[in-house]
Amino acid sequence: MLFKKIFNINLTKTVLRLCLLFICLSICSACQSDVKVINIGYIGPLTKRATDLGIGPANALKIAVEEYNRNKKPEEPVVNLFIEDDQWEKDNAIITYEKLRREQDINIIFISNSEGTIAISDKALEDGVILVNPLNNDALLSKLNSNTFKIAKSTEQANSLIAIRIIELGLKKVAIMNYPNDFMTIASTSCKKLLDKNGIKNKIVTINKEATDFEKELKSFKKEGYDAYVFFGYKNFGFAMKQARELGITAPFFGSTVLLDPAYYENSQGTIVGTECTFFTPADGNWVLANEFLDTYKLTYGEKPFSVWPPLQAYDAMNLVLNEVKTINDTKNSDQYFDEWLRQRLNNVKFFQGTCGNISIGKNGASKGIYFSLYNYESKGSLIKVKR
Amino acid sequence: MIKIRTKLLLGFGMLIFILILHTILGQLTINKTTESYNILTKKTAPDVVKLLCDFRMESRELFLLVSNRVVDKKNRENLNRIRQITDVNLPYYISNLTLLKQSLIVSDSRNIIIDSIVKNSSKYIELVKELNTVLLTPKDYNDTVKMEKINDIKNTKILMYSTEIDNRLSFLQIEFNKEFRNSFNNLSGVLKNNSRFILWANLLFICLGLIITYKNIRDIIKPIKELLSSVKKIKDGDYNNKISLNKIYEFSTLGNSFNNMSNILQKKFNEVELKNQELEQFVYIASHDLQEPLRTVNSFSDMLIKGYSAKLDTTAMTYIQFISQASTRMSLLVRNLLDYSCLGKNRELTLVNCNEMLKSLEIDLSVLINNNNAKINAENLPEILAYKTELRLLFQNLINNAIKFHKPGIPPIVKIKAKEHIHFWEFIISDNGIGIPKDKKDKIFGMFQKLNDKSQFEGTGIGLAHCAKIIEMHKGTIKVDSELNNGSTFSITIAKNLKK
Repeated sequence: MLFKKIFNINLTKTVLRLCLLFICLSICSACQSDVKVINIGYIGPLTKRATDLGIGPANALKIAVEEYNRNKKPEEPVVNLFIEDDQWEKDNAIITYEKLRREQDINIIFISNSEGTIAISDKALEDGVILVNPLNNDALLSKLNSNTFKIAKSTEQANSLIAIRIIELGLKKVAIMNYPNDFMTIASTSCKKLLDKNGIKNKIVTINKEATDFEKELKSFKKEGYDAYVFFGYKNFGFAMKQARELGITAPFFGSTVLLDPAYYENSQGTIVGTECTFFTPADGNWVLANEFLDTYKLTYGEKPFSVWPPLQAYDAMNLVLNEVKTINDTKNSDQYFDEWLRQRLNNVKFFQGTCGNISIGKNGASKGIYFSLYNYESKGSLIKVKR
Repeated sequence: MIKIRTKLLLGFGMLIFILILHTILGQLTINKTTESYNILTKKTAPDVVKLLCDFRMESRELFLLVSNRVVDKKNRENLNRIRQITDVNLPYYISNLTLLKQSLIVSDSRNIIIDSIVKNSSKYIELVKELNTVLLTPKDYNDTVKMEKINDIKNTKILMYSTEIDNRLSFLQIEFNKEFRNSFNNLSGVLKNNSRFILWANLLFICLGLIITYKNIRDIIKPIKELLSSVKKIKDGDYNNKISLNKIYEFSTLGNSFNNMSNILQKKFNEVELKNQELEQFVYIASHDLQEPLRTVNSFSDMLIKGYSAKLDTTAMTYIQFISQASTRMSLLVRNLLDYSCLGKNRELTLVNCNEMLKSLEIDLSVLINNNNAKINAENLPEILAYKTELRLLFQNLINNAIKFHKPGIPPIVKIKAKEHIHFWEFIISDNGIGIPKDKKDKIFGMFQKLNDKSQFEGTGIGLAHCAKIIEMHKGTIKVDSELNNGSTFSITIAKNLKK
């Protein structure tokens, strides 16, 4: 009564209202605390070019997400995967990224293309999105911002194997045909660097992206007496192989990680056979896990991927990320931004047993633990490890 | 003095206190066990032992791989494995070892060992990476200067680091294994001690609980028992019995009230006793003193009938005869009254053989029995402690009534049997007589109560009143079960514990 007289407020009603407000706020805060859904996007080449780096990884990511959602505990968030085709073009990567952000409000984006990764990395940082490249991991990508992660083989390490092989074979003059993109350029330069160091003459010729006729360059190489040909490019370089043999070039061929694209074989009309390249098979990683995954892949899609390393790496990258995502409701502070939290978690991954090997992630967001070996293109779609 | 409520509250409070104490002790023991368990799992768990073991194995494997790589230039296949170990596996073990160190106390001597392993491992990895860079191609093996340097690195530094890491990891393995065993033994000991402690604590608390419960129950039940005993004594006529209940307030108050009640009862009983004696005295004097004038009236009326029957007219004679008959009946009534008042005055408790008593009674009642063709069927009757004369009178009255109130034309049959109970004897006397109407069963034990026509059945109606008084003397009961024209069954009880 006294209170009412002094403040002109009904004390009981006020207390009741405050209690109601407290209950509402508690319910709201309880509702807010748990993350229920995480949206993940994938941008990769599903059509036009380098589809072995897009379709296989997309399928692998789908398997990883499906397995996660099937086996997740109730308190762990549901993960949705949205896939977009960039046709292996960085401009398309930017467009599809914007689309995924706008339409699906993605929190994490996986992207195959290195140039695409570079193109969207700053935007991803600005948007608080974690960016993961599950195929390439090189020095250039490692210079990108802290939201960019590379859970893949080291491009330099993989392609330097070609240079080492050339040295081993005692070849003296090496022609390197380079497709003008980040990955192939880094492959070419890392190879050249090692050849230069060991005093082996070499020459990098950068080819037009859409080129299918390489006669001019090949004739020039033949004339100059090159005894080794390195094809760091995609399926169109199959034409170059064919033309080289037609020109009577008998020197050994070397290639990159993408030779198993069926179009490559078709374009080369079989001249690709005998080419040595860097590649990754289950024998190079955790054999049991890798084969289990490949069996699941075959069961799900009716056939195994013709190039196994892109889906294997993508599967590992996604599982590594999901392994952290599932802890979000236990480990993320309410005042922490999503990207800040996931960045810290990923940077602290010291040991993840994936299909490609035991993986750790360094402070620069680059993984370690996936190592390619030297293979020989034995027959259509088939590689055999080079005995050295 | 304490109240029941307070006592119960104290009792339950004590039990709750014991429960709380038990819970706290249980919690403390659980905490101690958890502490041991944590030491076991965090510092010395099999994971740690496994980590050290794996670390050691991979470190050894790395040395072997590096050795092979240096010695055999054709061996190119192990490079990826070397990279796997140096890039991922060993750094992972180093980071776990660093975490392990954080869980140790600062003064733990193993910290120095861990620091040394971490430092040496980092150098080890660096050296191996350097070696890999130098031995890139088979051509490198042909460079003598380079190979000398490589061999030197391998045989001195790499070997040294590898050996040191191995030795220290081995030392840590032994230490942690020891700690694991110790912690395990400690945990096992703590669990055993806790189990024993909990067992003894439980037993102790159960005993305490039982003692408290027993004491509370005893403190409450004991006065109630004392009270019941006193009530029984009062029921038995011992009004002098007093109780003293001092422990609990409510019982003390009850005890005082009970004692007051007992005093009042004794006083009232004494008064009633006195009045009774006065009344009996009065009845005796009245009946005794009334005999004399009655005899005078009777004598003179007889003299008038005999001496003046010729002189007096018929009417006068009739009146005189009425006076004579009335005085005779009055004399009978007064004598019965006198008998009633004298009943038990000279009583003497003796062992009575009921069979003999019944035979003697049959002789006394032989005229009545023969006149009515009556039959008395008695089972084997017991020998009991009783007032002989009064008991005989009791049976006499009941048999007499059974024969007297027989159905016309039907010879009376009287059946007598006895039944022994713990505290009393029961006698059942049944007949095939005219029975008693239900509504009059309660009246028959009153004095001068006659249910039948005077002309048909002689008597003053005091017989059953005598019976009731005799049964009262024997601390027993008398009941009748009867229906009109269906005979009667009298059931009498006589206490076994009559005192002389």
